[in-house]
Amino acid sequence: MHAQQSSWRGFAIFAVIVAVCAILPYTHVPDFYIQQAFSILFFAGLAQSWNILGGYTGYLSLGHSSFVGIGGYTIGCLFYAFHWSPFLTFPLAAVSAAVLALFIGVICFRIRGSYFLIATMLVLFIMQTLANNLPSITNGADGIDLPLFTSDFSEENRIWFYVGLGLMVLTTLVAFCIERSRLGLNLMAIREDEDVARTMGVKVVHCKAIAFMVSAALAGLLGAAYTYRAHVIEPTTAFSVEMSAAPIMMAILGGSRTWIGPLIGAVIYVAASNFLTLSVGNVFSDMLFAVFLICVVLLLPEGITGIFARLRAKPTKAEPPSGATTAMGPGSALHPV
Amino acid sequence: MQPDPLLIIDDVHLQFGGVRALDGVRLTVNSGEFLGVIGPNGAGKTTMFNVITGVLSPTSGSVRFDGRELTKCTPDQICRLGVARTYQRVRPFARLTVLQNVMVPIINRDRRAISIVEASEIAYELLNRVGLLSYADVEANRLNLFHRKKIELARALGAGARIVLLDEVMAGLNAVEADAAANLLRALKNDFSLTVVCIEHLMRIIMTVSDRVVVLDRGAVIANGTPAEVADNPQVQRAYLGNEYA
Repeated sequence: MHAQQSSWRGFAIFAVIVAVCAILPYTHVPDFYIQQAFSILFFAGLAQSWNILGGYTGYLSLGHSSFVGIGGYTIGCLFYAFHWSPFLTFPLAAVSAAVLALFIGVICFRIRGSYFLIATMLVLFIMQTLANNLPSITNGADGIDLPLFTSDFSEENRIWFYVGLGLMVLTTLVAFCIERSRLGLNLMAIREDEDVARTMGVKVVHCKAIAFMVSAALAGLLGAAYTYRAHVIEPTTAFSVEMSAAPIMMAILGGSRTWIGPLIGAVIYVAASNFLTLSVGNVFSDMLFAVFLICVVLLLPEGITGIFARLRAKPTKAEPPSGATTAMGPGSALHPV
Repeated sequence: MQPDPLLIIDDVHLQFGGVRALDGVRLTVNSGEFLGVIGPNGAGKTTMFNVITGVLSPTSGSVRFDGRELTKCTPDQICRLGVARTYQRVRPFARLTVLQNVMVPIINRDRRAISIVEASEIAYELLNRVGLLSYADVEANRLNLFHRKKIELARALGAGARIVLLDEVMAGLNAVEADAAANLLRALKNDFSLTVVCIEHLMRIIMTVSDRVVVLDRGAVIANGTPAEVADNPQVQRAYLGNEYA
């Protein structure tokens, strides 16, 4: 099958790029870049995890940072209360995020489209308020400090680089597998038309719940890594709209229908935003960046990977397959994509 | 043919506020028959399909399929029991390929897990059967209306349907396409031993392919019989043409 072959080829290219990246810390690349690379890897993973629900299933969530935050607070609170090592409590970050997703899903899966978007955003605000107002657990607005695990700065950078790389590869593998699985096909059917999917035998609620929980669990892990690397967690940065919006823009920028899109989107997003900050300064960079994003959305509604898809679709358009020569009635004009 | 009731709709009422969309529909569909459903616009034909497939729950009444009460089942359960439908305004999964469209019901139809590869093989066969094989890897929204209607047919077959509910599959097709569609339907009905319930406005076709025709008007069945009997029924003529012409 055409699409499947190209998807394996894409994955081979991805594997090579990951292998090359893995050597980077042992070359003469300056520490600064290794440090920056973590943020690209983190956001690539985050966009990928958001895309499982937002891209494949078509449920746009503006509350994805709830899971980043709860992942971070899971390791943070356990350290604060019991001094448990954050590295050991990492898996619990995924569990607590998945449980939160299940809870949100029970309430929010009855609604669709912009209503779902708004509901998930409100969940984010609720989480922030809770974190602020439960000082016995979260230490309130002061937040929780986490220990450094080595005093060697470049060693620390290197470790986080590999953690980031590992998490990015993990989320990508999960997305890749979902995309090619029965679950993935069901999710895409739900995205295209949920009611029809249901009458075609798709267990809609079941599929959406799994997608949401997987998406959240991955974000929880990423949040734990992000928090431990920052050595601090506090309510406003843990549960922020910016952190929720970024993965959406990355996925849309790259193209939200395949696992490749969020990765490309994240790289371009972080690179472009850093480049603008360095070249025109903080004040105008945000504005220029917003203009850039608007242009992308207007000109490339299917994202950057949409260009490749369009190029591949060209031959079919020019030369319709045999059998297309049945009588063309009034309703038979080719419908535009 | 010995009548063998497969689907029994018994005194189904459905009320939306003050509107009685279905007002005591009684209808029996026998196994293996091709039942035509006609009736003026707003008679409740599509609403009846929505009730059968579980999309709408009736205010009262029962729908039994092969002895199972459908009004208590969810749409996906009803689909797995063997009831599939097509839509009046065609609704293929627009940005999935034709093959993927047909695979969706296949991967969900059995308790036994069907692998993606297995499902795609079954889907290819069905596409071949309805004449869409060459479009397998094309996105559904790029096909013309006739072909998109065929996708819906293949999808219904993919669901392993025993009864297929067709909601105006001929509407919008030209004469040549409509005849081709009618022939395809007849052939598929035989090959897959289907029972077909077909809402249709195209009298020329419905009167020739149906074993039996029922007429729905204002949410109730007003006539039931062979195509010839129904066409001669004065009540039917009144429903379509109004009192002064009948």
